[in-house]
Amino acid sequence: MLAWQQGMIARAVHDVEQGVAVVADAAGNLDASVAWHWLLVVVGIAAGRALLMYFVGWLSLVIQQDLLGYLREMILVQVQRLDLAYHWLHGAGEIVTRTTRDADKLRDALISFWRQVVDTSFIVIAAVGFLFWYHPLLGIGPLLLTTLGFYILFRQTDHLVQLDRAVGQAFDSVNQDLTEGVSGVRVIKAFSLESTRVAQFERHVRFFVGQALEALRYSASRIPIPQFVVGLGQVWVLGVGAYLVYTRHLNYGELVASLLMATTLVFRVEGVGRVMQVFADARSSAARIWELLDALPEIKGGTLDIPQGKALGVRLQQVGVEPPGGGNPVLDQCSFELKPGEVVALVGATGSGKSTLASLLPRLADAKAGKIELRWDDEWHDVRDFTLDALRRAIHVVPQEGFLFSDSLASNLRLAGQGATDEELLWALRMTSAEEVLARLESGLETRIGDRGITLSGGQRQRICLARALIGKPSILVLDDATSALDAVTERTVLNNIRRLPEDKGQAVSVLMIASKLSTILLADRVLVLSGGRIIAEGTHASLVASSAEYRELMGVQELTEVEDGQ
Amino acid sequence: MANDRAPALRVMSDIELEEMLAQQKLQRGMFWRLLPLLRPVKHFVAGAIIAEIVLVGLVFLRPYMIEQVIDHGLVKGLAGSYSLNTHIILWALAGMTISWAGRFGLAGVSQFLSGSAAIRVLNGLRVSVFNHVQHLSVGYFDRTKSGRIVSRIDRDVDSLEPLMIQGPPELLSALLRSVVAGVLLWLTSPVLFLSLASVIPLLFGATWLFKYLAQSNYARVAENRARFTAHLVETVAGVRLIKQAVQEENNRARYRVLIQDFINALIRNTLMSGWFSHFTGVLTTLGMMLLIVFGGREVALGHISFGQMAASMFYVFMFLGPLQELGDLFERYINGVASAQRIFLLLDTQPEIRDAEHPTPLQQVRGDVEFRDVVFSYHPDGENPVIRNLNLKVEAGEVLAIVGPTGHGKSTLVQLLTRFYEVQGGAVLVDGKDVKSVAQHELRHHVGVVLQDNVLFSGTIIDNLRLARPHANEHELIAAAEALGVHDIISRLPHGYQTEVGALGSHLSHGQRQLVCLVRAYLADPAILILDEATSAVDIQTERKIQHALRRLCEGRTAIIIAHRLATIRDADRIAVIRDGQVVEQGAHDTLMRQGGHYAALYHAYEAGQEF
Repeated sequence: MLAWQQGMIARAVHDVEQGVAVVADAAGNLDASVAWHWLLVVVGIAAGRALLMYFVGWLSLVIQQDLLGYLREMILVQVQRLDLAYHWLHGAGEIVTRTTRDADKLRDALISFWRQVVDTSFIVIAAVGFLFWYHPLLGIGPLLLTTLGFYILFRQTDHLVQLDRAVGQAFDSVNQDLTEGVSGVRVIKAFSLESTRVAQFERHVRFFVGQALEALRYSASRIPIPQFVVGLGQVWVLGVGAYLVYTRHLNYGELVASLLMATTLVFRVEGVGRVMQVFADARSSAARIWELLDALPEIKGGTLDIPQGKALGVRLQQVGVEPPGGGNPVLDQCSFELKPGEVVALVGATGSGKSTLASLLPRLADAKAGKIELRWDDEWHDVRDFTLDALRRAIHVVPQEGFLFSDSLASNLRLAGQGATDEELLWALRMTSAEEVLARLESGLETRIGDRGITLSGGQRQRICLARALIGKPSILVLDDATSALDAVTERTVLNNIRRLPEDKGQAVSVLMIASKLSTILLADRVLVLSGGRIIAEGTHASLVASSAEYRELMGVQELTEVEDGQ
Repeated sequence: MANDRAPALRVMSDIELEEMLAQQKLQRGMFWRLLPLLRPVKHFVAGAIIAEIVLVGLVFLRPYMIEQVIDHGLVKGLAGSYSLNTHIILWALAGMTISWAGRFGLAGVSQFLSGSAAIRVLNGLRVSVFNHVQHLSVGYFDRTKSGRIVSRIDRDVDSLEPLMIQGPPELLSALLRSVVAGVLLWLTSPVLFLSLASVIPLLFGATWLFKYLAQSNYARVAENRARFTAHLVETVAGVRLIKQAVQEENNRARYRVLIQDFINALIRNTLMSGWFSHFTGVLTTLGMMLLIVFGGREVALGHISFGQMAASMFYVFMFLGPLQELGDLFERYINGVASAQRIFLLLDTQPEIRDAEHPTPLQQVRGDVEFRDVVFSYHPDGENPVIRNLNLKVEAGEVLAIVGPTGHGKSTLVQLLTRFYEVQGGAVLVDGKDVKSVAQHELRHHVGVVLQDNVLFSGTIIDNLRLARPHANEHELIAAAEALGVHDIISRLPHGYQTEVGALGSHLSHGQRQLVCLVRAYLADPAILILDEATSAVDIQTERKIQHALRRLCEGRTAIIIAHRLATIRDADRIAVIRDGQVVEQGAHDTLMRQGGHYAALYHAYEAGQEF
């Protein structure tokens, strides 16, 4: 900032000098050496100023980019911090737009802020002050006109902000199409939907174009008005200046200098007109970014830590969950207990809330009602008392469609445990029968997988995700249909390996398996049946087949027997 | 950390990969590629150019007015007193007012014209890039980060605007102003013109240096930007895992490195190119002062009036100012060309899988499928094949189940049948016709798939069902769901068939999504139906319910089913076991059980599980 001020002082001096130079020339017009002298002085000042400006420009860029980089980082942090419910509601397209497009608009505004606003306001002050210095009458016109011009400009900006917001929203749907067009490409091709999707994209783009044109129409037709008002300042200077020369308050040189100054002023303000549009854009962008940054995660951690390596028990008491949009509760008075070291299967019809239940344990989502408690050292603690980090390290949910980053296999595995050695990674892969997946990769652990890496089948991905979970040494492992793409043999091997963990590694794990395959269920000690948002029956498979009609229907056991009988 | 060095290497590999896929170099001349894009909006561009020309005329009114006021509005008396020519001054003031009004009014007009041209052209381009992307083969998407594709259509298209739309009128206006100012200066006094022109060589020298320094850097900045955007897209997509694995801090650190790279590139870029505008500023001042020196002489010698000299000083701005703008224009040009090159790289990427020039018509399909000696590898050079000389025949109307360990090529095989991937050896035949010879859309019309990535598109469930049969009314669509026995499940959703499924169907559970996909496939009514783990996430109760329907669905058509549930498999007419990319066993359930091979082992494991 000091540098800026100095730059501006230098500039003001320069401008004054320039005025004086003209006077000197007009007076001593026969002696060119004075003019040459002025030439050196003024060019010297200009060069000095340019150097300073270059430096200041560089400095401001560094500050700016640091600021923006920080902002981008904050957005990422916020993205990671916000609850899954927020992501679910807002969708990926919107969040990405916010960070790229909106952050860029903010950057444009920041750059303009330095280049135009700070610079311009100094110039406006310097120019008007300069004119006042010559004669108050000369200065008063441009001052009032410039003020009026700015006033009009600011009023217009409000409307521009609204227009721009509409444009931004229209672009969101364009972006959504884009993301889906890229991610859903197989389905699009399978149904030959290419043209339909393009037509829809075109429709959204057309709507976006309409919105953008409207905003453009407004700014193109209204912004010139304040610019013109400021332009009148020069007319004032010419008229009043001529009169002042006539009344001998001003000489020719000063008149010319004043006119030059007024021109600079007008052009500067013209620039501001453009900047205002940038600001209008930025204001709505900033509003959207702030909306994201201000969103508070509803899930906050407690302070308790969880020691690693102990098998934990968990119990749900009268837990209730409602869908984000309201409506019938997903879970309602749901209660059950998972004992340390136990392997329990949870079954239920499609849409009965199994995955929701899984998300509750590591607090990826929170229950509306009831209590979830962890048993540790013979004491029950509410999950809300633990830090989120500790809780999520202790309770690992493996979803059916595990996410792999486009990075090496090793990095993907190490996500769950930073310090894991290659031996540990290999051990985990062995535990989950993923060794043969590894054997097929050319560069072994360093092979790139994920978005742009090699293509893995659903089952391979699942095994890698399971291995990753084991590397984190969780106390409770929740498998949300995480073995669905494995064949029966592999599945059994993996689950048996997990069961044997305490003997192998001294690491006790309780397992909650959400399952739909009978082969999975049969591997559990105990089966819970979820229906209507609560556990309606529990027991071993055999006892449930005997006692629960609901379970029999769910598992198709009756039918299965019939078919077998028939054969 | 090894990670910190890696990004610099990866920068190149991403773009190199795209170059490889496009079989084109990134660096290419863009002018002739871009010009045709302007054709639809040529009237707008022409209008903007005319507006700029008139503007230039208006701009030159002002120094003339000033000259008039100084030379004629104020008449110097004998004793150094002035007399005021009110008439001339009022005229000059009026002219000045008009000039400003015209100046800004026309600028608005020009902005509107070029702006609407921009919006039209760029969005037209956006649509055609999207259209192109949609027609690229599946393999391209496997290998290119989705974030990078999105940023082509989003950011890169946007950064063309300054190059294509604002560029031409501004360039013209700048040149015009410069030329007219030069001519006027020359007419006023050749000495003045020459004194000013002496700075031009310096200016051109500086421009050349600037161009040299700036060009290479812009590409790097753009590349760095694409990288951190891609990282962010991935973070959003994988946020659940990041939370679960408590990776927030590490992920943030990686992002920070990427951003820092970007900032460093940007700052270096600015350091190398930022001096230009300041330098031209100094040059302008130099020109102005030279003009004062020589103009002062001319005035002293009585060759020109003081008013002319004063007006000339305004010409300095008009003469050198545009030259300064050229630097700005050039900056945008470089930026725009870098984006254009990347867009055209994408546009020049040909789908790997193209229809034959004269595709064999495939109107009626019986449903015979044959894989003949098929070889396929995900690597273009054929390393590590997933499918190795596989032979398999499916008769029309047969229901074939494919079983085998995960990762041994089952899903790949069925995607060869839909021609998502192209065989590298052998052939896939439908009704005896090589799928390569058939138009893709026609083939896919007859070959329906429900794949593992059950993607729905944002919209309601009905919207998604209608994708398969665009002209069906709501009753027909619902009837299909009823026929498959999933009507109850869909009805239980918050808004039934009108439930919004969210981006990529994310508002529905996996099982629900699979059911909708199944109905969708049913609606498409293909002659050959492929179900790849189509009901893996559906609970058994529901699966049982739709099992009969599925059986009916398979009637009268060829069905290839990949499943892990042996109950599903046992119902098939024939079972093929695939290991290491080859069919190792095939036959009916009973036959295979008697053989006591892989299938029998699998089945026994299942039964053992049951006893467990």
